[in-house]
Amino acid sequence: MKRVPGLLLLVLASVAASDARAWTPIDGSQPTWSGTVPYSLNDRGSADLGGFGPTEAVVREGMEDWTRLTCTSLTVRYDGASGGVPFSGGVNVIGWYESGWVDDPNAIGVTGPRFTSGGQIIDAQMAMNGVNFTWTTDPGSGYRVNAYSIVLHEGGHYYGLGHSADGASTMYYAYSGGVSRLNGDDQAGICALYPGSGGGAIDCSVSGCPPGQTCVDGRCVEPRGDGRLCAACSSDLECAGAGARCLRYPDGGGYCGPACARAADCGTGGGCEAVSDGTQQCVRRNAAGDADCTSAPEPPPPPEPDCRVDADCAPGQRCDTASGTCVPVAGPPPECATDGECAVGERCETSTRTCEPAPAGALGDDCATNDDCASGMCATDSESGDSFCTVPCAGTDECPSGFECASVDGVASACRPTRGGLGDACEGPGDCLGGLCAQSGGGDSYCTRVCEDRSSCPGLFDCVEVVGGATHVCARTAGTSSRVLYGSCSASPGRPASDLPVLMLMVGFLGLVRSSRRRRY
Amino acid sequence: MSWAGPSVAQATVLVEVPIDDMIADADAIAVAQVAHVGTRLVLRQDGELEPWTATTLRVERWLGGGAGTTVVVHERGGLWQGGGMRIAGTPEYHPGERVVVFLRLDETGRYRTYGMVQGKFVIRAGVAGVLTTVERDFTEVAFATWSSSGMVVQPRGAQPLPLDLLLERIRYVLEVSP
Repeated sequence: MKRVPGLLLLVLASVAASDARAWTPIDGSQPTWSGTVPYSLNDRGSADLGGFGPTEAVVREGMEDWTRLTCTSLTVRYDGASGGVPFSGGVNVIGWYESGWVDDPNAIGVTGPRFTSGGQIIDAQMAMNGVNFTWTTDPGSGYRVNAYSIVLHEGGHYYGLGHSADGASTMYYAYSGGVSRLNGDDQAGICALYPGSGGGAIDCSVSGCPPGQTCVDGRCVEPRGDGRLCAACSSDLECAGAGARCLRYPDGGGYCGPACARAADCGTGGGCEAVSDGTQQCVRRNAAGDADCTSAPEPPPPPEPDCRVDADCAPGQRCDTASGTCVPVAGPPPECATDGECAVGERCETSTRTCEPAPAGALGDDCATNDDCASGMCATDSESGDSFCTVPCAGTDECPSGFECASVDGVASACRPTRGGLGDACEGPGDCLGGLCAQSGGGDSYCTRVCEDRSSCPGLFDCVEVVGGATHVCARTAGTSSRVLYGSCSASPGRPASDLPVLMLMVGFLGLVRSSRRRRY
Repeated sequence: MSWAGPSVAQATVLVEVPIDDMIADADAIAVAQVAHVGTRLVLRQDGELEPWTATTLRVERWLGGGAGTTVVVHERGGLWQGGGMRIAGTPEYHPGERVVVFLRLDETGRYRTYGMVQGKFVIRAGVAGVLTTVERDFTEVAFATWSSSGMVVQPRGAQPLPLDLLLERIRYVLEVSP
């Protein structure tokens, strides 16, 4: 599509339109608290700050300064001292880690509001790094951290604010020399999330609007019209879609131009161009290169075929006459984007976009990620370090035999095997769900199970035929061996020796031994 | 199950790690391509399930430390059944993406990205005649810095860096560091 230099598309002035906010919500669903926001402080406070009392004063100031803005209805409730620890059983609690900081040592504070898909924050936690940083109420120097500034910043996240998408802007505030202040953008953000009493009385030319709405005369409104490229309009208000503008074309008419970053965003009927105020909008041009929404878009020329007959293609290729392209004689591997495009028993491997056998990990089997499990859920026991395929549960009665529900105080959790699943370390059959404990040639012992073929064993296992035993078991593919032992009987594998480990299978009658599962997460 | 619905987002204030420090202190540095991204759920002692993400990188070359053709990077947070936990400041890897990564071993012996988002540089190949660059995603973190007047916390934009310049710097620092 030809572009005519010098042709300037003007953005029609919508009435008091403004979307110049820098603040962002912490998630696209713009989650907020419903009602008063509770928080408490771990009863140890910060050792650097002098314990609970001095810490409490700083925390309350940082958390509650947000509520002092006149444009917001945000209210908080301080619940006092708590024995809870953030990210370790505590709920709505702020606390300092003086040891055992598991996040990056360069992280000063971490806040985690947990929210539903419906956009409601249900709880939050705020953890401060007392391991790698020294906390102070002074302005802070060297790596001494000013506590108020961090609490104030993390408080914004606690309430649902994210960071600015504009890296050049100052989001939240700049703290310098003991003087800190929530700036206009902080105010805009918190007041948009929690508008002042009267709901909607807040001036959105200051606060900005939620995604999908436009600010008109200080009020957030839903745009009218579908906002399609070239839909007639008289203001931005009539062009739905984030960043869509009403553009004045040479014929004097106003037509919607969706926001774009590249031509592909505009479909076949338009190009992506910078308009008068510097934004990128979709613009339609006619065959002469003029901006034109009144004539039909110029159809793209039909692509010239790469080939018409097989002779046009390289050796090993043939001409697909339907598409006019050369394709490998054997045909390309099946491509997919979702599991639904693959055959039964297969899944779409997103990294290669090819259909591959679906995971065969059964409940209790060893796993590395959810993709390894037929249930789609791989859990790691933080205490033992074991990883195993599992399913959600709310009580043990929801778990199959051999599993218990790891549920505390009604918190929904996962079925945890009471004995080892496939791949878990074992010392005898009593350690294993299936009553089969295999000892490899290297001396490692792990739980295994009977299998029918390779597809019934997870990724790192092969299905090994036990000659004489008239059965197969899943065996680790790592290592080499020349034989498999079943119980106390020696046997030979039915597959090439280089694929197989030496296995000693210990079955149920060998008696119970203690559990010793040992992988770490 | 009530857990499946909520998502968690966290936000983080970081101290910037100078690239030279990152080069010198990383347990491994690699140019790699993201092969697979998967989630596992850590069953905490309080009964909560905490998603972690295991990212398998196909290593093109090790620039420092490391061994083998693949490496798995573990990060707190992940997606599961439409919900999950997303930690601002934790690098997100995408299959097919080429990266330069700085890795550190945690106390469990697993690799994590050094300095959260600071340790992941996405390689952006340019068209003919345009330099291939690397870039970090700083949109979800804020940085604390100190001056004579005190501490400042603010976001910072990412500045693309020529890939060759980064690789050259890595080589240089590794050569001169003890």
